[in-house]
Amino acid sequence: MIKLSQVSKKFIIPSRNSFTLFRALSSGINNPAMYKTIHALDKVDLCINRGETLGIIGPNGSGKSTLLRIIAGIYKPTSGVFQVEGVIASVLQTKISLFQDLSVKENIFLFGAILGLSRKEIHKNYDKIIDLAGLSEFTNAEVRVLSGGMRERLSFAISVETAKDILLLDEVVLVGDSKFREKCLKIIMKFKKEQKTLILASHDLEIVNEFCDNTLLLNKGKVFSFGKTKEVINSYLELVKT
Amino acid sequence: MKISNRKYINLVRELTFFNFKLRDQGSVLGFIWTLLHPFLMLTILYMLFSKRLGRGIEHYEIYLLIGIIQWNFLSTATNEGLKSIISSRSVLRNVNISRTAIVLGSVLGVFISFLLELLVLGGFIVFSGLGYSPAILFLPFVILIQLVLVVSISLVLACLNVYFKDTGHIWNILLKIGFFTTPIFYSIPMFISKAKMTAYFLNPMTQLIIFMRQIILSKTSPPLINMLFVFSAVLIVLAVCYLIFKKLEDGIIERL
Repeated sequence: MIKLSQVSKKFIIPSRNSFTLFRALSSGINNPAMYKTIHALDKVDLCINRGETLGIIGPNGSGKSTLLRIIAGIYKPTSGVFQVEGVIASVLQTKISLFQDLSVKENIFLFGAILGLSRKEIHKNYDKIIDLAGLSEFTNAEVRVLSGGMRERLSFAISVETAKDILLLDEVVLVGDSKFREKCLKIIMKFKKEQKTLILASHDLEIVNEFCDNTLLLNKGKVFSFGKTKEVINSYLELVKT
Repeated sequence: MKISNRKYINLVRELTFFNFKLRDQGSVLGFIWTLLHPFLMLTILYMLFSKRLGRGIEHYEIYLLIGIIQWNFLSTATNEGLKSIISSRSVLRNVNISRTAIVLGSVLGVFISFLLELLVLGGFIVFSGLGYSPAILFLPFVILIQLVLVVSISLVLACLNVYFKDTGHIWNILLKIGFFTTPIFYSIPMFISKAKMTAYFLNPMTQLIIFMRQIILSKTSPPLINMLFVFSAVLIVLAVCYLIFKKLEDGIIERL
């Protein structure tokens, strides 16, 4: 189960890219002019039960990825509380979330360890990952030499095949060719059947409509609408029109 | 995501293994490249200083090598630790992975090289006819103290490097100053003021290098009270650095 209560997220980031200790000391470390504040999420309440598939939709910059990162435990909320029961696997940004200097095989083992799996468990899933990613001929190749599509497939395959309880996906089912997309959708169906929790943030309303029981519509960091997927999609289409 | 000790150890082990492999390209030739640096330093410093600063120091080549290897570990491991979080940026932004494990993995990757360099030093000792004494049993304790010190510094540097882009430059300047103010290629002069002597001994690397030289060259165990004092000081440094790391940790992912 995943429960968020009044969760807000505010980013305070340096207003300049190159932020040095010298500059901080010369302008004062706590000088507000040195930072800008971005309110990414504002008092979000959400409850997702085990086995549920939730879609998250909303315009660009509405807070979808931030919400997924909070659920994944990557970001800490500025205020509010959240509770997650179960092990989370996430595919949030497939293009770059691999260790570029390591081989395909090494990435699988390292990511397995990151997700809390033992070597034995990774060995058990190894063939399935390679098969899903379609990289059986590239197991010893460094990730940096793979094409963008190959990297995306590998990143997705590692997370999906090792996910135990909860899987967070951010736009990823749209990656790859039609064959890979078909494989992904089959896996998502299997995931649903096994009563695992799936949260999918996407702009693809067709996929959200097909797979998600409930959907959350975010707009400017706030919950605009939450409920049955069809109704929420209609709200979104109206929101986009205005 | 809270992870159990077993999973954490498993993660650190995997990260250590891959970091070591990446540094040394997982090959014998790669390791030779890594060894080349301390031995090149040894050759240069020996040629420059053996006649002057090394006069009166027995087995000056071993004396020098001990200092170089220990300093090299501090310098390389803290630099790897410093870069560790930034270079794992893409992974950290997308997966909930322990940040301490990332830093530990990169420091321990260098630690393996350090141990291998010590093995080569062992070969030198045999070759030079110096031999060993039971005092060698204290060596693991000295190595442990240095490892704790290096991990502590790396934790803070890794975080600061995310907040301030010039951390690496500042740290490398400090390392350069440290190299010349630590008795690596010279011995501490006998007749200096008390203040200068205190300054030498406030530097934990001075103490650690002296301990190792005492064990290997003098074949005597360093005074236990001194070792325990340095160990306690290093544990306090670790506690302070860990608290700083925890304080800064939450903000680092947002700045990556």
